[in-house]
Amino acid sequence: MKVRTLISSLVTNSVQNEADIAVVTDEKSWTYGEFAYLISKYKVELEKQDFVSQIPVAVTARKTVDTLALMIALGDQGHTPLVVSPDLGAAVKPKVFSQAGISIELAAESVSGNATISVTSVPSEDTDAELSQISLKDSPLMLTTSGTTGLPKVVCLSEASVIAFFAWAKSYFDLKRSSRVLSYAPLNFDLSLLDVWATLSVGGSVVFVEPSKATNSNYLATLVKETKPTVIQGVPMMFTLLCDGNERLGDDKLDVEHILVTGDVTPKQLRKRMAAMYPSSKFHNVYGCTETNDSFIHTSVAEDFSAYEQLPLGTSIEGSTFRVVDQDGELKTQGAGELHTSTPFLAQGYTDKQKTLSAFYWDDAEKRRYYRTGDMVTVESDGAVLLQGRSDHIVKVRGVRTNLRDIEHVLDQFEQIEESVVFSVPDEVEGVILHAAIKTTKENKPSGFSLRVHCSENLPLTSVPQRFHFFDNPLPRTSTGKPDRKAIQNSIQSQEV
Amino acid sequence: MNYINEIKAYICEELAPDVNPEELPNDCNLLTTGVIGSLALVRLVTWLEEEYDIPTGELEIAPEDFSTVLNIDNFIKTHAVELA
Repeated sequence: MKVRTLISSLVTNSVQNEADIAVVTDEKSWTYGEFAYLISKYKVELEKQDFVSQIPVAVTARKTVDTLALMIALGDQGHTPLVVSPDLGAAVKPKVFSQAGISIELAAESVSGNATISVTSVPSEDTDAELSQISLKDSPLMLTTSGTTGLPKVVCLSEASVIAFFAWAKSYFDLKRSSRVLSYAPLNFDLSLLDVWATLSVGGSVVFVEPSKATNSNYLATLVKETKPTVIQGVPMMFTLLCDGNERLGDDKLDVEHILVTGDVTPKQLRKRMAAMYPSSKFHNVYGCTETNDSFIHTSVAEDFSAYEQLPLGTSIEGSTFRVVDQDGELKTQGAGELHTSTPFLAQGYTDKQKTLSAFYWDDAEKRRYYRTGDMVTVESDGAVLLQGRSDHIVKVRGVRTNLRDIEHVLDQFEQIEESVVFSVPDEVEGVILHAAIKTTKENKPSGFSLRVHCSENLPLTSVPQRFHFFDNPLPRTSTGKPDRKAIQNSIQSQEV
Repeated sequence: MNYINEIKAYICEELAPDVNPEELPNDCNLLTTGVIGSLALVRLVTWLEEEYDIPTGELEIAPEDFSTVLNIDNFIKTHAVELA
């Protein structure tokens, strides 16, 4: 992590606030003094390695203090780390690394109390990717996209944008020495820029959620109860787990200053539970992506947060702007289109030049770079922007443009439904058939008939799913906590065969 | 005699497998509630033709004839009688 202000702030904290807690893990609480000492041990270990100066290297994103220390040590020595999931598939890894010209992966681990770095060579693979002329000198960190639409792309951040993001996060969420921020997301996610790095940059404490227990609702609720974070950021699934665990533990109210929901639509029923659990919190609906970081935010108190039928995207973050562009490339001041954003936190681009050129563009009149998000939004007459879903969530059913997210939104309003995922399956006769996967409450299951009546009362007839499938267990999730649409679809189709 | 149970069994087994025959009211509009979509309607008419020997191609039919279980039942009775 090559951010000069972060490194100097860590040095300052290790001297001036040596006993302050930097990171809380299940095993121990690390003070800034101990953390700085660990970083120095990794610097020594790195010097033993024979790396060419300033080359990019991959780092396995195990959620440990050792990984954080290695990333800082790498940044201090001029290397730009690409943080990759420990679960990145062996077949995909060489392809991803080749996009960024990377051939080695480092993993940090304490062995008998000693900092050790394991180095794995990854064979390069022929790729069509043409490396961008991106300045790695100015890039503190590389992240990958989720790869839901194909091979994960490597996003190259810029130091200026990361510093701008830290400054905004510090001011908006009141981050300071006394802040404790829950870190639920894996280290290779952009959410960690806030949870981990912005928090460390102000001398606050990061509370790690142990990944192997991240879906254990009792563990999560107990961790939050004991560590009392002041800021919690997560996807809706995490808050569902927290509400479940908290209700089971019998603690119905918690005092958290800032609650950030991100990454997915938060159903109204969940928002009601969250508002009851955190009655005095500020709720932030945050919209962004790896390429732009946060770009829209909507802040509300508990009462309003639980009352919206659909949470607004909110306003663009200070210094950001956006435009909505329809299928013909026309700018829209009202109506539906694809969202393009320009934020002070914009990445340099992808390491693959062609992919950068197709996703980012320069507006010469405004002297700004924009990113095409691929998300469809609607601009209301009062200027409010509502997220409609990914452009790949729009399908045509018997010639009618249908947004699968709209159907899920209507289904989620049905009392006995905890969550729904709607997907389309190609059909030789009908073109496509809409299926709905329904996670029901434990008490009782709605009938397919009642759901059809509910949908037909609230949606065009073409949007009423033709097949409903009921699940007692939570719907499968991707590593980012979003419903795993492919896995859900595969599981249903394999049952039908 | 009526065909209500047979009609419901066909709809719930072939056209809307997540619907329970017992919860399907006889007078519910199957078309406007999405229980029977436009192409499912074609399959229903084909089934009536094959199952009850009704020459639907020779009849003037309208979607309304199939909008409820009762209407379908009446349709069978009417045309089965004619055939008889």
